Amino acid sequence: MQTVIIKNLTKKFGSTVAIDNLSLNIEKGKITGLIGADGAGKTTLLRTIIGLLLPSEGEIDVLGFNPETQKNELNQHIGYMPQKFGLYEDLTVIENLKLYADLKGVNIAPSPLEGEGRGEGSILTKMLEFTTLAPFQDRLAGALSGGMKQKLGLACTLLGNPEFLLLDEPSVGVDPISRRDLMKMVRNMISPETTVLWSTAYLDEAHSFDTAVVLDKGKVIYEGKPHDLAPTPQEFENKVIDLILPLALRERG
Amino acid sequence: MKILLALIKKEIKQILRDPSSIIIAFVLPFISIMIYMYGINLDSVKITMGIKNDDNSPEVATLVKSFGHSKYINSINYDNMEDIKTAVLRSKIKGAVVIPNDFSTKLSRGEKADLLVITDGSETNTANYVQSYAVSIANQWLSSSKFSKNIKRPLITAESRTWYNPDLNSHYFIVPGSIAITMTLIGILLTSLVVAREWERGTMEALLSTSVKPIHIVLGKYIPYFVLGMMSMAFNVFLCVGIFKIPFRGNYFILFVVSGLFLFTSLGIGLTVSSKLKNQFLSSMVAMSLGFMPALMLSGLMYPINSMPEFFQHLTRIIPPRYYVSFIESEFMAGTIPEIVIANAIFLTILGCLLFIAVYMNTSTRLDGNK
Repeated sequence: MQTVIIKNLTKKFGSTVAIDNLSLNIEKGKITGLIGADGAGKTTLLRTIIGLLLPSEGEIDVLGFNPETQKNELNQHIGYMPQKFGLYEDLTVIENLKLYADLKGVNIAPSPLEGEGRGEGSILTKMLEFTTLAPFQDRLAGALSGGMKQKLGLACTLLGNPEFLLLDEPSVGVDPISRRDLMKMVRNMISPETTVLWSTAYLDEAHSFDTAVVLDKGKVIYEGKPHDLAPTPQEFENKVIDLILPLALRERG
Repeated sequence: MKILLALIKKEIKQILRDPSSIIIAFVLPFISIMIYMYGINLDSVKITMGIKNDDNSPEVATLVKSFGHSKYINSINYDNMEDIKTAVLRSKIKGAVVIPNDFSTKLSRGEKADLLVITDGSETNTANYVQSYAVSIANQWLSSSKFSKNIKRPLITAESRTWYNPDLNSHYFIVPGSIAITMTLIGILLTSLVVAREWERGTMEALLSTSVKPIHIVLGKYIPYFVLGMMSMAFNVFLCVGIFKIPFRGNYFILFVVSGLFLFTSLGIGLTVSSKLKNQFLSSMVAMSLGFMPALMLSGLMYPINSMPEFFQHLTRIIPPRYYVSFIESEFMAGTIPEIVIANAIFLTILGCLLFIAVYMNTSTRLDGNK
């Protein structure tokens, strides 16, 4: 079963073609890695899939919704973490979580003793414990380290158990331990039916995904299981570079 | 409703943690009213002027003394025109009165006597004061001097009564009018930044991927800043009436209702610009130019609208402060006049609603500006 069906998608910004006649299916319940260098079209593709950008040509079906005409309905089923995740830096960790819980209609179990969202068993408490942000829940988001900010961003995105999770380079600028934590968070907190589309420029990270989609200049140049391309992360990295490099060299003449 | 409440709560927390919002809402009005109260004065002030008396008669000496005794004038005596020229050039005096040597002779014969009044045209207001003070002092002196018997009494005398502001104290209308400028500034400055800030910091992208609708975003900005603006308005009125003792003859309820309508338009200008431009610096600059400058120049506060060229008179009709200045000046000085309140409130409501529609239309739900 497919979560996303894309047919002949093209997205242009003026004369620049960001997505070039791309067709792609994303399987339900799988973690799909969207791999590509900077400017490959990863962010544009994610934004177009959820209707934040309108396609220039082509068709998209996400969870049975057309993002062009049913964006609001679709938004109730997805979790999207933009590259520069929109945390309110002047709100605390718990305030950010509560805000996104309210915006997504997530019920926060109130606790008269500890305040809304802080009671034992509350979804926010679980989220804070899982992200190891509990000791920092009253700290302003702007005062968190880069890794913690990403964890908080991911926690906000995961609220409401979205059916389809889209993460735009969540591990950029994050230390290797936090990168591993982010991966662990996603794997442990989603249900088996949740589909994840994880965009990344880190090829070693992409090797652990169920499926890899390699993008270059807005086109899919490889789609399949990372292990089918190479058995180890290092070899996978070399193979992907081998795929991208000839195209770049060909373009340069 | 839950979404709207969450956005309002978020905005209020941000306002309370951002010192610049508090400064704009409470410190700026204080500074502004202080400037309008003590820095700007459209009234007559004590003017220093020169006197050159070429007539040595004892009667005319009393005229020179009259200039010296006036509460509006500091007089300095000069012996020659060169000194007067130098003093005017150096702004030591704002004008001069020259009494010719045949002044008393002509008056005693019942002839027309000339008095030369020199004014500095580079400051037209002051020049007018110098002229009218000099003529007024000379006439008063004449009516009480021995030459008065030679004057033909006019058949009609005009008794003047100034209504609403008998002391002709310009602060009584400038300071309340300055509330319009301050409220424009607050409404525009605060809101011109807020939507653009969401775009610049990337929070809008995250918001647009949730169940938030444009109406939530629009009301989520309007409501908290409306509350803050009205608190600032109350502070302005307290400063005017409570601290600076500006007379208030109107009705506080009506004052706050119409002020609310005016704030609605100011917020609309700031939010329209902020939603359209999505850049904090650019929006604040554009909003200031679109909102603050016309409020200052074309609202009728500093320059009367009916003395503007016809084109600008028509242009003022789309400037909300025009209606608010007219309302607030009459509310403070003359009390509640239903015709003025209703007419201005209707125009403010229409402009506010049009701006609200503009904000809504410019609030996109997609990154490329589409709905």
